[in-house]
Amino acid sequence: MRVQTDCNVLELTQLASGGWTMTLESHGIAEQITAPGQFLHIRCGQGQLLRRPISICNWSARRDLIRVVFEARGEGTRWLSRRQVGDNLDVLGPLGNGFAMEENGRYLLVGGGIGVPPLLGCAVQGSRNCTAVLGFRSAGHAMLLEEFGQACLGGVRLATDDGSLGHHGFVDTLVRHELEQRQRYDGVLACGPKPMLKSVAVVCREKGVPCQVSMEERMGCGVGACLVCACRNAQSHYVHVCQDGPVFPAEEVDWNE
Amino acid sequence: MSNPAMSVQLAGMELKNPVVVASGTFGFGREYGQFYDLSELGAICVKGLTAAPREGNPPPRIAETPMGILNSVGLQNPGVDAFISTELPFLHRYDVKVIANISGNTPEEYGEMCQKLSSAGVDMIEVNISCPNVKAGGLAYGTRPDLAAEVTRMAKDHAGKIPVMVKLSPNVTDVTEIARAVADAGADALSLINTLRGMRIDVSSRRPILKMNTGGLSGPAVLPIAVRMVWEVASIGLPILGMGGVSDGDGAAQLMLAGASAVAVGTACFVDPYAPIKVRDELRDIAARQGLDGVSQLTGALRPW
Ligand SMILES: Cc1cc2nc3c(=O)[nH]c(=O)nc-3n(C[C@H](O)[C@H](O)[C@H](O)COP(=O)(O)OP(=O)(O)OC[C@H]3O[C@@H](n4cnc5c(N)ncnc54)[C@H](O)[C@@H]3O)c2cc1C
Ligand SMILES: Cc1cc2nc3c(=O)[nH]c(=O)nc-3n(C[C@H](O)[C@H](O)[C@H](O)COP(=O)(O)O)c2cc1C
Ligand code: FES
Repeated sequence: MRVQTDCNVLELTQLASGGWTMTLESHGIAEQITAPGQFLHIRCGQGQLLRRPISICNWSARRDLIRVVFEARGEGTRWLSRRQVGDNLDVLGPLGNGFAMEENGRYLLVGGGIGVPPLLGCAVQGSRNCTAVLGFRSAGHAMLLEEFGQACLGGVRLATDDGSLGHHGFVDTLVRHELEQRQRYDGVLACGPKPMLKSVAVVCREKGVPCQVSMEERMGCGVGACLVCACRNAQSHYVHVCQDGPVFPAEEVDWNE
Repeated sequence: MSNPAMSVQLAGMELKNPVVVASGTFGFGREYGQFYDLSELGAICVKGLTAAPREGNPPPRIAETPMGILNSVGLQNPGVDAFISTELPFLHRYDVKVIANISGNTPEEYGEMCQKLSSAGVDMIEVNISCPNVKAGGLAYGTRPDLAAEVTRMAKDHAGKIPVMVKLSPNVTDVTEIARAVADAGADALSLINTLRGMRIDVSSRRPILKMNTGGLSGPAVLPIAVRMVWEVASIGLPILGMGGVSDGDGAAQLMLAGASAVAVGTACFVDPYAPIKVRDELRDIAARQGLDGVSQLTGALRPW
């Protein structure tokens, strides 16, 4: 049986990027995680009716820990950023399907902005044999670089919109470069804004490398019952991000929607 | 403190407790069935069914509002035939009543679905004449007494022995007018309220949040409207399944006092998957504190000024 769980906040600190990193004592959720890219559906106070979906960034089943990294954008995530160590959070999870990875597979991880955190789980838990391409608005928005550096044997490439760090421009240029330089990637795993996912998917199709993308949609139940989190698939049918995703093979997504 | 009996009657259907889950918020039971035994519930009202499969509306389909949500799912469902072949057998594994919620484009479609569902063995049919998300039919049936009556007659003619409950729209000036029309047309019970039409705008982009621009409001914000409307239609004398904003025993008891025989819990499930169980237990506590022999004694026991 699934359960709704009270998770204890063990750590909450603000990153230099402005985002927040939170570690939870998960009361059994961590050991149920089957893949990086799954998410938690978190109640954000009495004032917000709906839970907020937040990706699992990293976890330890042995120590019963889950880490999430989030940006305080609206009321719900702001409430989350004001928690204190020792507070309880009402959490549903782990939910959804994560990234399918082979243990020693060679992966290119492609993250944009707040899409970056769940890819750390891919590098730490999925396969050590990863290279990361991470894009941010500016150097000031960059996050988790040291941890990606430690986890990714293939190294980390950076891009910023304003050129203040790494490549000046979008990640898809770097992705193209990576796929052309070394033809040996077993897959590309991407999380970030939809236009970025679309351009990464285009490059991957051109290069014949399988690509998985993590999609976002507004959610209600988070478990597949209410059908609000619809996303059109390549056959023009609506699938549901919370249950059928959030991670989908790129060729199954209707990119024109 | 008494130990109140929890079972209630709804148009001849016996429910082991008065808590039903509302159509469209509980799928076909499989998802929340991973959280608890579905046999704990009084009845499951399944996702709204149509004669043919429907894809539903483009996203975003949900927006949060103060103590409520707007949805514009648009009746996405696999169609009545797929429900009967793949979902109903799953639900029949549980000791729980099954209410099939149906929406049609024409009275004939309602009739056809009722025939199929009554032979397939559902416990009750809930005729949705009030879904605000469908352009054809839908809301028009729910806001015009003559059309509502026609659909009701068609459903009754094809449902055999299965009781027919008609779900009313709150988006009308006088809900009793429609209620009386469907009662005269032979409805066995009434359910209300469906969602209220609403809209939320993102001020910075000047766009509505919902892709359909408008949607249906549900959740705690609508409870007072539901209580008032149940109270208004109670005078007609048909059994009532009350719903709209129930998230605790107190809200459920209010609907019962206003005249409902049973209550449905919808949006609250998104907040807390165990909400229906919690509502049931709190309702039992309320009845016990009031020294009742059975929770059914709450029904219509309001003392209006
Ligand atoms: C599968 C998934 C994983 C996510 N992982 C992360 C993560 O790891 N870190 C992170 O910072 N953010 C993540 N997000 C985005 C996060 O859910 C939103 O930022 C958050 O819901 C905003 O809530 P709010 O109350 O702060 O904002 P508000 O704008 O006040 O929220 C209003 C409503 O809109 C919904 N909403 C607003 N933006 C989004 C969005 N982008 N996606 C889905 N719903 C939204 C909210 O859930 C809420 O119901 C993820 C989203 C999804 C779907
Ligand atoms: C996401 C969603 C989908 C719904 N789908 C249906 C439906 O298919 N048929 C129907 O009759 N009512 C549908 N409803 C309305 C509910 O059954 C109920 O009448 C309404 O939400 C009020 O109850 P609540 O406040 O407890 O949610 C839906 C409501 C929601 C929130
Ligand atoms: S959020 Fe309810 S089905 Fe996905």
